[in-house]
Amino acid sequence: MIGRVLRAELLKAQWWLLGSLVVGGGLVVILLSGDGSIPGAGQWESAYQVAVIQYSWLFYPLLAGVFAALVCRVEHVAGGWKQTLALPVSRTAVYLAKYVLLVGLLAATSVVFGVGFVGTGLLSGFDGAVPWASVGRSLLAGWVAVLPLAAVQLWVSSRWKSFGAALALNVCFTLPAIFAAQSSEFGPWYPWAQPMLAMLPSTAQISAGGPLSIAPETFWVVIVGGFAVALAGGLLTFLRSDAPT
Amino acid sequence: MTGAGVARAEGPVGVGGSAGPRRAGHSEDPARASAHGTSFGALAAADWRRMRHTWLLPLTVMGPLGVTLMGVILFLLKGEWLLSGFDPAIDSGFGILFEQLGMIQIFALGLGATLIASMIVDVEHRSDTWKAFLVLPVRRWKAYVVKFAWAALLLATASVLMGLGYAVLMVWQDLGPIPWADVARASALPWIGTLPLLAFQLLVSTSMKNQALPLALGIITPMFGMGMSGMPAWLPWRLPTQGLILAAGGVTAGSPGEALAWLTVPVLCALSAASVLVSVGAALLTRKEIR
Repeated sequence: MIGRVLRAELLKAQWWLLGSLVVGGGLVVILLSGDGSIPGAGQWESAYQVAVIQYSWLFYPLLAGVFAALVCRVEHVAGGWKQTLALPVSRTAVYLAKYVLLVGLLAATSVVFGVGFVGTGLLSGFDGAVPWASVGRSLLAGWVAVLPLAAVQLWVSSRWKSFGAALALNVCFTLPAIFAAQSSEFGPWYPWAQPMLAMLPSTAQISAGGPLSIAPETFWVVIVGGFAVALAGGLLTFLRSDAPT
Repeated sequence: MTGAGVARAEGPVGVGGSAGPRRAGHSEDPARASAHGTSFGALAAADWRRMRHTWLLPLTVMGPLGVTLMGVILFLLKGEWLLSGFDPAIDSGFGILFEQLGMIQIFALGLGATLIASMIVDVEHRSDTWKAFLVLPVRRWKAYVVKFAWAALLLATASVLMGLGYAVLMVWQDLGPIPWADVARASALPWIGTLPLLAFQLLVSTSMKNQALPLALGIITPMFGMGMSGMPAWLPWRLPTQGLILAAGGVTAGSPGEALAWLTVPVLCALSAASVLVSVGAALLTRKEIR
């Protein structure tokens, strides 16, 4: 059933806006990160570092909030929740379909970012081979790390009608990541710093040998645990409460 | 920039085509011409009554409070490292503070501009009061300029509070005497730099009823102008950072001799860009058909 609900979600989505954010966002990051590469061996790596900091520090976590708010927007306008939930589909399916769409959009943004980066590198004629493996790992790790944040944003966006309120909350949580990511004690435990830390792992992180070069405690407790808690919390809230008016 | 293009396209039509068919039902009644002198003061008072009970005012306080709280978190987390080797006699305590928090202040200002611009016109969008508002004997461009002025004033208030927040942090961390001149620059210059962004967001927010796009735009785009961005310095998304850089330069090199140092190219660009965007917005609102 979730497949059909998902198809309905795809129909309802405001594609011109979502599409321009997915394509435009990823590419603008590439354009604006400028040419930070150092010619010679490791040119790809140095350029990737500059681009990925721009991408993962604020942009990617904030984009999760924007997408979450947009995914719920149709329902918030003009009593759409009541219409959707009056259909013979389970609330669980509706909520999960929204989550799948949300994380799908985030994955698409990362793919655009990756393709844009490799394309720019090839056009500027970087030295050496394209580091497919490390770029791919980084993109995948960033996406995994953003999953709990997306779950939190869907939780609040499905409850709050105000687009601004959900986004303000997102910004409040995301901004401290700037400091948290620099702190070796606090950083691994702050969920909003994880996309950055996962996409640009420190040597200590890599040597800790967790999945996707994320330290094992961080991966299982903060990312997997946070994802489970936020998704379950949001789903339970959605199941038990009245349709938001 | 699109704004300038629109201005060129609208300009001649706006002058010659005031009796165009689009305005047929809405053009100002000549009989009311005398009432067109509605003062800015009266309009400002009316806007104040409408926004008094919205989130605009709490937001103005919460923004600087939030940045100050982040400063508290920062010093609790890595205060020892930041202040290792700090000597009030040699180092500028404010310089250390501003270096850490300035970027956050810029980000909060950009976001504040977006939210304020959206909320200040959302009142009219939501209750369709644009219509009710604009059939009153009010010059439309005046109504627009007053909205911009209120939004700019709210941001200015937030900036002053931000300066106070810096002062509080300095007293708390015992960072030496407060350099009020530097604090004032740190409040004022980023504010001036944010005005074009505010004007742009007000333009976008006014032009459409659905506030999703203006908000998404205003949250995502300012960060592209931050940090090591490759964006030209005169664009609205980059100017706040330019203001920050100017202010930070004053912190380290702040001597009494450079009283006019604020009057630099980026600041002038900011002011002129803001005034252009405000005029474009006012022109568009004047020509806009209110459904």
